[in-house]
Amino acid sequence: MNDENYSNISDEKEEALQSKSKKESSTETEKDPAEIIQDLELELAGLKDKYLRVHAEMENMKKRTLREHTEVVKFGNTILLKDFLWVYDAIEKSINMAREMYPDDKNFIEGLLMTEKLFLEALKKHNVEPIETKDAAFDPNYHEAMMQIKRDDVENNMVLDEIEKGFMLHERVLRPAKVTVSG
Amino acid sequence: MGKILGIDLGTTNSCMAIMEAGEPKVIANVEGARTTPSVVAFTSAGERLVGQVARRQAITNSENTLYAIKRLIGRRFEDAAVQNDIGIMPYKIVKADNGDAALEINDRKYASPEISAMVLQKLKNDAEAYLGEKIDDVVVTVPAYFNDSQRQATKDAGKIAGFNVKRIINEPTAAALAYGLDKKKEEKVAVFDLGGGTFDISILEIGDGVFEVKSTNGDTHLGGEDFDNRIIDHLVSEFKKETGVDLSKDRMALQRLKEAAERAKHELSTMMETEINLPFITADQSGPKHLNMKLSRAKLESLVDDIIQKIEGPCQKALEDAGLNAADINEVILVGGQTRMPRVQEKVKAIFNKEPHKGVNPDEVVALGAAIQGGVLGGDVKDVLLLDVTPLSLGIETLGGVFTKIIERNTTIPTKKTQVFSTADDNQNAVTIRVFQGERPMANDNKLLGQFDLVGIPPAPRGIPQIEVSFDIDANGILHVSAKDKATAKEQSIKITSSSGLSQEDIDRMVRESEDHEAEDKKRQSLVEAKNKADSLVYTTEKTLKEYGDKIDAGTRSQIENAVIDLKDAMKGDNVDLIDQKLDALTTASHKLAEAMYQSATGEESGGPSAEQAESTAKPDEDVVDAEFEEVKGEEG
Repeated sequence: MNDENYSNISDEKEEALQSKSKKESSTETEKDPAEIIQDLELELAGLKDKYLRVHAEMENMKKRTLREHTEVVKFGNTILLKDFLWVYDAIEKSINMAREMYPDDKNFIEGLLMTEKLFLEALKKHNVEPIETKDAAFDPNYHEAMMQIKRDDVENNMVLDEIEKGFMLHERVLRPAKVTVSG
Repeated sequence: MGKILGIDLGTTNSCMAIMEAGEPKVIANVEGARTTPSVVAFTSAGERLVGQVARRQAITNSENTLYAIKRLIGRRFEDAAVQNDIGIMPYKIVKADNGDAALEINDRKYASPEISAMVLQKLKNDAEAYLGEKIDDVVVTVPAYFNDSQRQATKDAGKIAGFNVKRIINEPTAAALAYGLDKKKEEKVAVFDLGGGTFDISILEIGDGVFEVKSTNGDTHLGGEDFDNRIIDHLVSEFKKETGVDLSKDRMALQRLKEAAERAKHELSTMMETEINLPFITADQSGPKHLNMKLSRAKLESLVDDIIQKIEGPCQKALEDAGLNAADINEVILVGGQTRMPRVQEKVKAIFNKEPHKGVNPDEVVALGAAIQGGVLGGDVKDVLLLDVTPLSLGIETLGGVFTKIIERNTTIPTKKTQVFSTADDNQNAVTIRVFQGERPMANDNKLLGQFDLVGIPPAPRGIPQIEVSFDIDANGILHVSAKDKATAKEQSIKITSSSGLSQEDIDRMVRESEDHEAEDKKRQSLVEAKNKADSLVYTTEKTLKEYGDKIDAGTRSQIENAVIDLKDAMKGDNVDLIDQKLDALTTASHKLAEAMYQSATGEESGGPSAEQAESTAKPDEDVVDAEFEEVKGEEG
């Protein structure tokens, strides 16, 4: 234990007072007390200002932290959920192919459809919902145009085909629907 | 002056950051993304789209979707670079009245700063939405090779967006700021920027906070996308070999491949091997086809080897132009997402013979640096108090030699924490406060900083006195420890000068030791805790027996007394389980005693005094009493 590291507070206070008075007496002859007061007042005003600013910043940070917290609670799962959408894509593809290539195998197709339903319901539980593109007008807020195809029988800028399903997480686009657009 | 926003206005993507409590922080846009595509589109409906939204409809509106405008800003129409782009870009590049390169949308001419201003405008709006306050001032970054006219044009873009552009700074300078290199005396820094589409190498000289660009070089067509394409090509050719199917003809398959390739590339930066798994990627007559391939880091590196080699030339040229050798470079910093790749880092290290700095997110480092510059200009950073932290935990020794932390390590100072303690023995009239510093759970394994006594505590049963212990660290790092008896207001304290010469090594060692010894320390601690608990129970039981022993039958009484003896025996040893066992046994045995106490309390009409006495015995070991309460309730129910 270091004896020199600690001392009784009262002794220390006395020491400080003594040295302070020594300092004061030596500088008294140099500076006018009114000047000293002015300097101190300026310093005080500056410190008060800094103090208030720090507090204000703290308050602002509190507010922002709260907002960010809400954001994290709502959207903290974004990367996780996005990764799971890859699985959905494979399921969707399997259904499309099964329908196309083995249309008679109704039983198997039903199993795949049930799997898809399971997945979508799990997503729904976590506030993820598919973006509807059927007969929709192309809207870049929700869709991403991968290709534009000229179609005389269809109005311009309508969604023709969905290449990859898009999803919403709460009110935010988790992944836009990839579509082909008429034009 | 309010806050100053820092903006990295990139060719493909832009990023913004601001100083918050002395640290630069990236601000996400309203869509929740930390970067915003530098894309502007004019729809047929007369709408103006900026960012990700604009990018998504590019294919349907290619003539009116503007991107990579940074390549045109500040240039004359006749510039070779502009003329080159005219053939490549799907949008119309025209000559403005003043001879500059401009854009034509729906028969209207837009100066390139006007378009860039639209991107800046979105960033401004989104930043204001996030911060909840108006932002008027901004610092915008530009490539080091930008000439005066390009810099002025960028400044104009800021003005058009409604900003007061406090400064235009170079991207490599911003990156160096983000790494704190402005604090260095005299340094030569190489900034290696490998982004999505372009490669830039800059050599800077830093001296006393002043940055000078000595040279720049690069390759405008070398970036992360080239790496992705190599992977895609490899997947396509392997798949063709295996199945005979050419995926490059299938647009949908190609899209999935592209995403998978990018993902695999990212994964291989931290793993040695990854698997690309794309079921039902396509189909032919024979049925559905699946792509399932492993890709090793070594294979990836071989696929992109020639691209990596292309890095060397511009770096050497830049050194030459700066009149320096690789050995003259003091620091190397990495910018741009592609620098995350280990092979790229290796190459950089080999060229400059130095380990590159890579702590800051390479996609955001330029924006962060711009924010720091904003902070300096705004006077923020100058005034920031560099607050210290206590490097190690501080606390006192309590019953059983346990180290009870009062202030956790890494707590920002100045700070003050108070905790109330009590006495361990009946009629204890003094406490010794021993102040320790460290991370081990047993006090004697830590460093004793000092100690003092507080005397004159009035006689009382153990656990009754309230001694308030305060730890106060002031701005100079000096610790004041005080102990005050709340009853008498008697106080004693000591002052301890900080750290007493603990070096960073010492601190790291002490933290490490606590981690190494965690298991055995935990054991010791639980033994001490068990003994303390047992001690408490023995004390209260003996006390209660003395007062109420006559209310219960002899059989029960001797049961309890035996349980006490057993527990006392167990306490002599070091077997935690045994102690806990005997503790439970005594607790159970004591229930009878409590029952008797309450029966006598309700039976006799002197509920008052008994209740009081019950309370005073309750305090020292509340656990026991709570359990009894529960028991009684259960029986009644």
